[in-house]
Amino acid sequence: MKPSPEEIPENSLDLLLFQYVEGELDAGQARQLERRLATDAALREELNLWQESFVQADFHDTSELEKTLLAGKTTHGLRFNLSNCVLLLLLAAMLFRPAPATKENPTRPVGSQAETPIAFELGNKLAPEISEAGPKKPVAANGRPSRQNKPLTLAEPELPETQGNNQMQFATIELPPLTPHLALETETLAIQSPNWTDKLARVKLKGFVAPKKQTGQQRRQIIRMKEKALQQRQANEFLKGNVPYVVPLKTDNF
Amino acid sequence: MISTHEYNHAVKEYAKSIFRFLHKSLKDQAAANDLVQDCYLKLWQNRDKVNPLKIKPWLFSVAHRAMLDYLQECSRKVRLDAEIQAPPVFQNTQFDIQTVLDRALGELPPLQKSIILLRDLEGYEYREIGEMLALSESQVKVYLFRARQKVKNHIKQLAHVL
Repeated sequence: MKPSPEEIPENSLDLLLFQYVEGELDAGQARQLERRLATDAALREELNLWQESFVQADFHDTSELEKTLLAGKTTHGLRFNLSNCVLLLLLAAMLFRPAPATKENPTRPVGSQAETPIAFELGNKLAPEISEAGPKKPVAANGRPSRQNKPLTLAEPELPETQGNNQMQFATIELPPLTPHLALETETLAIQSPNWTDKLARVKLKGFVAPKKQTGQQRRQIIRMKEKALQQRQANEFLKGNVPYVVPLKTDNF
Repeated sequence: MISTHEYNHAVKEYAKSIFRFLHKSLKDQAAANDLVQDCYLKLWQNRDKVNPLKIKPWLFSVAHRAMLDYLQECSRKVRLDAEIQAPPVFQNTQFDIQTVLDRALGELPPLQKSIILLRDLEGYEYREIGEMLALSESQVKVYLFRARQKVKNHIKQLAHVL
């Protein structure tokens, strides 16, 4: 049964104190009550009990704190303080240090452009970009390029023997100083180039250690480990209370 | 009509409040978690009907009804002795007002409990509480007065004993 407002005794002291703690008294009534409270200890004690009847939360709301902490972590990237700058400078100096001069060419460092020709072994047809450069390397009697004067890297021909030896052509293009990273990019470019669709050259670079091929079992093991790590991360987030209760990622499921 | 974004926002913003409200009422963490899930499931199922501006009151009204249903269901069940956890024994001689308050809250009728929790924990006005619980403003005030009076008397009794 729902009560009616008349069920509260209007002149009761409890009602007055209730309205006071609820902030419903106007300024005059509140001042009058406070004057009475100043002299009446029993009334003060009663008021304390009313004030203690307010329910307190069991835990404090930490959402604001979480937002503040997370906001501090959102600055991705490097922070350019003094120590980081010094480290970056040292790293740059190590990377771009000039190589020592050779005996043949004291002014030219090892690994410069002239010393790193790469021969692309192609089929019947040369790519237009390469044909402009023209063949520079001598061709041996068996039609394969001579391995002399190939200082750093050279293509190891892997074309089948059915290819006519006399049809083999070689082109030398000059590339910037060779690094494993650059060599990888070059290989990718050669394979993906639309002009070389007839016969694609496979370039194997000496001095470049290719990563070990993973077996199927290893790959599956890595996938399982990644899944486990993801599950662990999600569980940690859930324990922290960062994961909401119900969030339909796929609305079709509902 | 509630969009997914609004729904997710509601989950982020109000899930803790709903849980706090239910946990204070039921004193059962697992049940409170389940009911929070139920509330949000109902919100999603009724997303076409709920006003996006009144998601929070809607959720609290659903939580209140879910709490009543749960209490009614529990009243029909008899708990096994093994499930009843013995309260921890405190050797604290200090007067623990929070424990007394919790006990007093537990003795309140569900409606009065909901009103006092919505008022104290969430800071809702009488009118808003009335909208949530389908009561008039004056009825909310009466219920709140009675609830506070009971809690105050409970504290007073225990204070005299201690």
